[in-house]
Amino acid sequence: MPQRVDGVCGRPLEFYGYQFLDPSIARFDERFLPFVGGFESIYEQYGIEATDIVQERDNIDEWYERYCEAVRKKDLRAIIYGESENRLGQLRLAIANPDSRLGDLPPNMRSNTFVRYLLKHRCAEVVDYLLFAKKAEPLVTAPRNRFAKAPPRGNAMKTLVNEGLGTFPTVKSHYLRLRYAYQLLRLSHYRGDYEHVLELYDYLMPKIDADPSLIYHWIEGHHAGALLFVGRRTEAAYKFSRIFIECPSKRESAYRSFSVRTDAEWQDLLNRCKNDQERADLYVLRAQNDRANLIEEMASIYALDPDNRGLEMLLVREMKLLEKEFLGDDVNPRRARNRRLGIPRPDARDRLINLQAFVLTVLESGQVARPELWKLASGYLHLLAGDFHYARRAFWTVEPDLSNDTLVRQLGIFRRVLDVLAISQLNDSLESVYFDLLGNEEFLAQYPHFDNLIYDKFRDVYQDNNERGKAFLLTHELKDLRYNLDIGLIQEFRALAADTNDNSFERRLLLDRGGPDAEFDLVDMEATYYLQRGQVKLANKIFRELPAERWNSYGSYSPFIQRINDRINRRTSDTLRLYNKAEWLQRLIDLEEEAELSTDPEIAARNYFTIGLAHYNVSYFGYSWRAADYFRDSRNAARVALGGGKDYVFPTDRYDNGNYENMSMELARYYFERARRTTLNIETGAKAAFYAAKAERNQFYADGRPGGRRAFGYFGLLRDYYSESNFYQRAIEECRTFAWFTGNLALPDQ
Amino acid sequence: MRVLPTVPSLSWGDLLVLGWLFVLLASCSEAGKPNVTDPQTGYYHWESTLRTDSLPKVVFRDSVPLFTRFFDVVWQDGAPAAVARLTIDPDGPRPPLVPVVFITNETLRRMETNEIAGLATDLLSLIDTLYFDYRTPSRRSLTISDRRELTGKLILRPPPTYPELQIDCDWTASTRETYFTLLRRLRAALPPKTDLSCTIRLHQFRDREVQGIPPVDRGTLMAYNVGDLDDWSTPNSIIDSNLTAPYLSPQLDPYPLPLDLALPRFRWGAVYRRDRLAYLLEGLGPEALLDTTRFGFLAPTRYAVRQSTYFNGTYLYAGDRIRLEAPDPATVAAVRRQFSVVQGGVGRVLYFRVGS
Repeated sequence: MPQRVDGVCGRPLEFYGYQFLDPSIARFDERFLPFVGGFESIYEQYGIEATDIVQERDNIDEWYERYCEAVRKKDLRAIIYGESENRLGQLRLAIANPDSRLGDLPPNMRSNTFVRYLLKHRCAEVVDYLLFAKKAEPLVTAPRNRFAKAPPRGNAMKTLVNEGLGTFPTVKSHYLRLRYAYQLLRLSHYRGDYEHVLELYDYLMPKIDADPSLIYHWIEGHHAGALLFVGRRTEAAYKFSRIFIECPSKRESAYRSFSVRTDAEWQDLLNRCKNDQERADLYVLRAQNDRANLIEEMASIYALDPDNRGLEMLLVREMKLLEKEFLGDDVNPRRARNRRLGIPRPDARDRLINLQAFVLTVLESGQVARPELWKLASGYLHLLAGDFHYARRAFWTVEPDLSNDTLVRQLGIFRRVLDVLAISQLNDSLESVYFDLLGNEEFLAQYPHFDNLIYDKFRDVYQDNNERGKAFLLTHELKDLRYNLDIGLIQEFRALAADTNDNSFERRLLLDRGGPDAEFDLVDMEATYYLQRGQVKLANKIFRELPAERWNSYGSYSPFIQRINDRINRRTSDTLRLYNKAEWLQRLIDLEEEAELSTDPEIAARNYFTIGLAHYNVSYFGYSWRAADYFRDSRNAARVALGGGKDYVFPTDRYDNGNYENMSMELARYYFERARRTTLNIETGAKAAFYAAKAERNQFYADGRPGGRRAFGYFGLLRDYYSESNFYQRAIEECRTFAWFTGNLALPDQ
Repeated sequence: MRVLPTVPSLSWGDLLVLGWLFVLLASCSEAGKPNVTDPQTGYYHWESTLRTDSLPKVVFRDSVPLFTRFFDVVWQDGAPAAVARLTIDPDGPRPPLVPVVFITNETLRRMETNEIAGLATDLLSLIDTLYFDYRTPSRRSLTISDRRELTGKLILRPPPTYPELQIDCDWTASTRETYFTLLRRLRAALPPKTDLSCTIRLHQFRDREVQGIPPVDRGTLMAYNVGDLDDWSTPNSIIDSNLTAPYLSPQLDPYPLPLDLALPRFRWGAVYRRDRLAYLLEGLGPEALLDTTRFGFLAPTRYAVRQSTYFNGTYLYAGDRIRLEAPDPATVAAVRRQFSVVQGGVGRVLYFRVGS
C-alpha cells in the first residue's frame, strides 16, 4: 500500500538557482545521458518508448549497412516493422518464381527499394527469415489491451522454436543464422524454459561466424537472463555489465537486470572480468544509481582504469550536483526556500572538499588523457567553494591548454560567472556592459540562468549601497509597485524617467521594466499615493501633470452614488455619469470650496455629505475602490478584523512588500459628521448619521475590533434624534443591523 | 522516544512473534475461544506472487479473508495499464480471498470522466480472470477424465464470484469525483452479494467534508504509515498512537460507512544516505546487522554502515544510517483501542501484511 497517509496540500516548492556546467565537456556517448540524475531518473523521464525507438533505429541501421546502403531506411522499416505476413508471403512466392516480375507484387510494395533488392537478387533466405520473425513477434509481445491476460502461448512458441531449429542448419548466411539464433533464444526465454535457452545458446552459437553485430548483444541479453534465472548469478551479471557498456539499445534492460546480492558475488564478478577496464566498467555501472556515492565509485574506477570514459561523465555529474548546491547561494533570493527543499544537503560541503581532493589527486598523478578537463573542473570547484582567487588562477592556467571548442566555451562562461559573483561595487560602465549582455538574446538562450544571476547579484550590491530603486527594478516590474505604493521610489523613478539626457543603467532598466508609458504610470501612482492618504488637492495637482488626453487612460469612476447596502461588485448603469481621476478630484475640491463659501447650510451640508460619500465609495469598503487603489483582496477584511495587516499592508504572494488596502474611514466619517452638524434638515441629518454609522462600523473592523465590541454611536444618534424622519424608517426597512439595534428585528449579538 | 524492545536473552525476531501472539490472544476470551464481540481478523497479501502453501497458518484458521493485491493500475504511455499482476502458484490450498486493486492518483488525474466506464469494465474483467485462475484447481494434478469433467463444468458455469472487492487509492479533493465515479461504476457492475470496499487514509477520514465519503459498502481505515519517514529523527513512522490520536477528534460525527481497521504487521529498515531516505529494506531486523565489521550500533533501532557492502542486493555505502522500524505490539494494541470508538465494535481488523 502507499506509504503516506497524510495529505500534502499547497503548491510544491521548486528549486531556484543557476546552472552553467555543460555536460558535453565530458567525452560522452550521447545515449548514456546520465549526467545529473543517473540512469534511473533518466529512464523514468524518457520512459520505455525511448529505448524501443533506439532499438528499432539500431536494427534498421544494421540492415541498412548489410545492404551496402543500397536501399532506403524507410523502406527497410516498412518491411521489417510494418509489412504483414501475408504480403511478405507474396514476395516470397515471387522470389521463388524465376519468371516473376515486380509488377506481380501489390502496388505499394513495388516502389520499395528493399523489396526491389530482394526480388532482384532472389534473396529467399532473407524473406524466409522475415516471415519467421513475423510469426515470432506476436508470441513475444504484450497484448494491446493492457488489462487483458496474454493467452497461453507456450505450445505455439515451442512449435516455432522447433521449426526454427529445423531451418537453422540450412541457412547459408551466417548473419541470418545469427538472427535465427536470436529469435529462438528469445522465444525460449519468454516461454520460461531457461535451461533450454542455455542449451540452445551452446548449440547454436558455435555454428555462427558472423561479422560483429548488435544482434550478438541481444542474444547475450537473453542468455544472461536465463543464467540469472537458473542461479548462475555472477555469470549473468558479468554479461549484463558488458551489454551495458557495449550496446546502447539494450543498456537500460542490462542495467535493470544487473544484480549483485553480496560482497562475495561482487568479488566473484570482479574476478570474472578480463581486465581492469572491464572491472572499472562495473563501478561505472554501479554509479548509475541515482543514490550512488560518486566519489567512492570514481576513486575505484580511477584506481583500475584512469582513462575510463565513465570517469569524466561521473565527474560532470557530481559537479552538476554541487553546482546546484553551491553556485551563487549567497546571492540567491530564494535560498530559504531551497533550504526547505534540503538544498544544500548537510554533507554537501564535505562532498565538495572530497571532490576537490580527488581532482587534485588525478591532476597530480597525470594519468588521465585529458588533464585540461580536470584543470577546468578544479577551477570551477574553487568557484563553487567561494575561492575566487584560486578559481581565477586555475582558469588562467588552463586557458593555453584548451583547444576543444566546448571546453573553450565552458571556460568563457565560468569566467563570466566568476566576474559577476566577484563584483562588490558597480559603476555606470560596468552596469552598461551587463545591461548590453542582458539584451543579447543569443547569449541568454545559451545560458538561460545568466540573467537571474546578474539580477540577483546586482540587487545585493545595490542594497548594500542603499540604492533601493535599482535593487527594486532588478527584481520587479514597475507595475509591482502598485501593490504598495512607495513614494520614495516613485519620486526617484519619476525624476529618472523625465531626464532624457540620462542614459544610465538605471534609466534603461526603468524603461525596460516599466514599458513605454512608465513616465505616465508613475504620475498616476504618485497621485494615487496621496489620494490614499487623503491629500486630495495634492493628488489632483499631481494627476494633472499628465497630459489631458491621458486622463481617461487611468479609469473612469462614479464615486458619488448613494447605496444603503454595501456591495463591492455592482453593475453600473449605462447612463451613469463617469469621472476620470482629474475630474472627480477636482469636483471634491470644488464641492468643499462651495460649501465653505455658501451661506446656505443645506448646500454646505449636501456638499459635505457628497464629499464623504466619495471618500467612502473609493475606499476598500466601497464599490468604486478602483478609483484609489489597484488591487483589492476580499480576504483582507477578515484578516484586518482579526488584527492582521500592519498599517493596512497585508502579505501577498504577488509582491514581497505586501499589498496596501485603502481601509481608512476617517475622512468619510469626518465629512458625514460635518454634514450632520451643518444641516438643519432632519432628513439630511438622519442620512448623514446613518452613513457615518457605516463608516464607524468599517473603522471598527479596520482597527482590528478594539475592545471586542462594536460601538453604535451613530446608530444611537439616529435613534435618539432622528426617529421622526422618513429616512429613519427607511433605514429600519433596509438595514437589518439597524432594525435589530432599534428593537425591530431579532438578530444574534454583533 | 519509544524504542523497540531489546532483551539480551531473546532475539528481536522472537519478541516480535511473542508480541503478535499477545495481540492475537488479546482478542480471544479467557477460555481461549473467540469472543463473539471481537472483530473478525483478516490479512493483506501484497506480494506479486501468491504461494498459499507458504502463508502462516493463522491465515487458514477460521477462514479469515485474505485481502490480496491482484494488480496496480498506473498511467503508462498515455493510458491506464494493469501492472504488477498477481502470479498465483498453481498448487496449494485456496483460502478465501478478497481481490484488492491499487490505483494511482495520477491515473485518476489524467483520465477523462467518459473513460471511467471503460476502466471499470477492464478492471473487473481482469479481476474475474485472475480470480478464476485462483479458484480453478491445478490442472497438473488432475487426471485426463478429471480435466475433461472440469473443463465441461467450467465452460458451463459462470465465473466464480468473490465476496468482496477492495480498491486502494490515495485520492485527493481534485481526483475525488473521478474516483467516486469509478467506484459507482464498479458498484453497479458487481453482483449485489459482492461488497465493494475501499481504503481510507486518516486524513480522508478526518477531512471528510473536502475529501468526500466514497460510494462503497464499507471502508478500511489505514492506521499505519503515519510518521514522517523522510526524517531520520522520526521514532517510528509505521505506527505511533500519538500521531493517530489527533485524527480522532471527539467533534467528528460517526463516519457514514461501516469501517474496518487496517493495522501494520510488517517491519523494515529505512536507509538514510546524505540525510535523505534512500531505501526501505523489507523485513529487516537487528539480527541481520550483527556483523560489526560492516554495521555499527548507534542507539536502539539505529545503526550505521561502517564499511560499504552489498546487503541483500542493495549496495550500502559507509556512512549510511539505518533505522529499524516495526510495529510495537503495545502501540498496535493502543491504536486499536483508539479506533474502537469509531469502529463501533462491528468492523474487522485487517493486518498488513502476510508474506515476505
